[in-house]
Amino acid sequence: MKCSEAKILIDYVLDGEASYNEEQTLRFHLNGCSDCRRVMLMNKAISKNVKELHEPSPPEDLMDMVKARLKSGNYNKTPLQQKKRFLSSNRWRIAAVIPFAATLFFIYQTIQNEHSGSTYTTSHIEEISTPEIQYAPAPVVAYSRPSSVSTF
Amino acid sequence: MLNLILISLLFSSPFSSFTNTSAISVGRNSGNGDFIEICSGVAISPNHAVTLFAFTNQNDVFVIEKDSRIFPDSTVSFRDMGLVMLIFNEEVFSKFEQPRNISPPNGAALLILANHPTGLSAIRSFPMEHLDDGALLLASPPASELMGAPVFDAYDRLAGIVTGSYDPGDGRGELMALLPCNLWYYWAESVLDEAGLNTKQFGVTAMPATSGLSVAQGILLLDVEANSIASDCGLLEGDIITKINNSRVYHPEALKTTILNSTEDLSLTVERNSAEIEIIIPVR
Repeated sequence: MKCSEAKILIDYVLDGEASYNEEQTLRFHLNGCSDCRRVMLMNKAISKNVKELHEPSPPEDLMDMVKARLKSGNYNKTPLQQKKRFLSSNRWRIAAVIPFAATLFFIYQTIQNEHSGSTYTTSHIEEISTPEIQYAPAPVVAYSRPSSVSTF
Repeated sequence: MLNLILISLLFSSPFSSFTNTSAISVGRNSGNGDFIEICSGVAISPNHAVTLFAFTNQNDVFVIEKDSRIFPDSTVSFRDMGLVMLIFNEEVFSKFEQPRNISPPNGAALLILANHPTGLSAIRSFPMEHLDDGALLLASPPASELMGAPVFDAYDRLAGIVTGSYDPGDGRGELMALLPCNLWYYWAESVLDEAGLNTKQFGVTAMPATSGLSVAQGILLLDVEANSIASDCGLLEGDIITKINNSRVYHPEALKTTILNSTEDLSLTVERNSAEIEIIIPVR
């Protein structure tokens, strides 16, 4: 299986849409592909964090604002349109882009560090003096049960 | 909104949620030190974990917790069951699950959790049949990442440990075998209680009765000492103990530790000359 195919399957598995065989195929691929494992972990974390985000609540004075608008008879000028106009100046666009770019930069750095083995997680940063560790799963052994004699 | 998602990602550990399980990762250094070979296991107390005996035949076995290696202070092996207990003087496991006297029925929904430093694998499966020695054949093909992985039932109870592959020889090919908790929880309990196995001599020499003997499954008494507790209770050489307090037993360890821990009389179901009888062992 190619990595490009695995990455499609990762989405299916995380969305619960993959068949049993597809899941098994993906797991065998992940077993030997650290890049795809990283993608799987990242996607899992994204799904988890998105689920944990709170649903935004409407402003407390929304009802008053709607009532006032209805009373004034001006139905064209919505608060959203006002806000858009307010944000349409270049100054605010630049201000919004800076934290976004900074966030992307930090994420890029984190991923790079993970590649080089210098950090393990984003919140718990700890230097590892050894180079990146390679892991290999224990081989499958045939099931057998010795029957020894015991006296008690 | 996107910023919020990305910021929350940045300040949360993507690994922390995966460590919130009693499934653990056990490692040992490869012969030439090029890589770490890993096997799963399960924490059964803050200080105890169980993994596969076959994996721990080297002295440098350790538990991998994030970026740390934690070496056990001692081990207790149960070779007949293929298990080993890793014992730590300090409390090292925040999440653990004590084994119970349960064995999932055929078809029961199970979740296999293999914990490796590279991530947690959760695989759904179910037992297809019971093997002669009480182990279960899972509907899962062999996968090295599953070795030693704990298995949980639909109630999140620890149901057992994946112990290796088994070919039933009927064309289904190799499947993974599960060692259910009912086969080893007596042993685990006695190690946790530090009770040891120095029971007052009960007076039997026993071994697991296997299908090779064409007899009922249970504990075969090879010898019963004269004037011992066992003989006083009416046990005879050749008896096969199939149940203790109506629970199936397969291994002398179960009888030994039950006698040790029991606070009330025990009822043994014994097969003798193809007939089933009941024998009471008074509390000691």
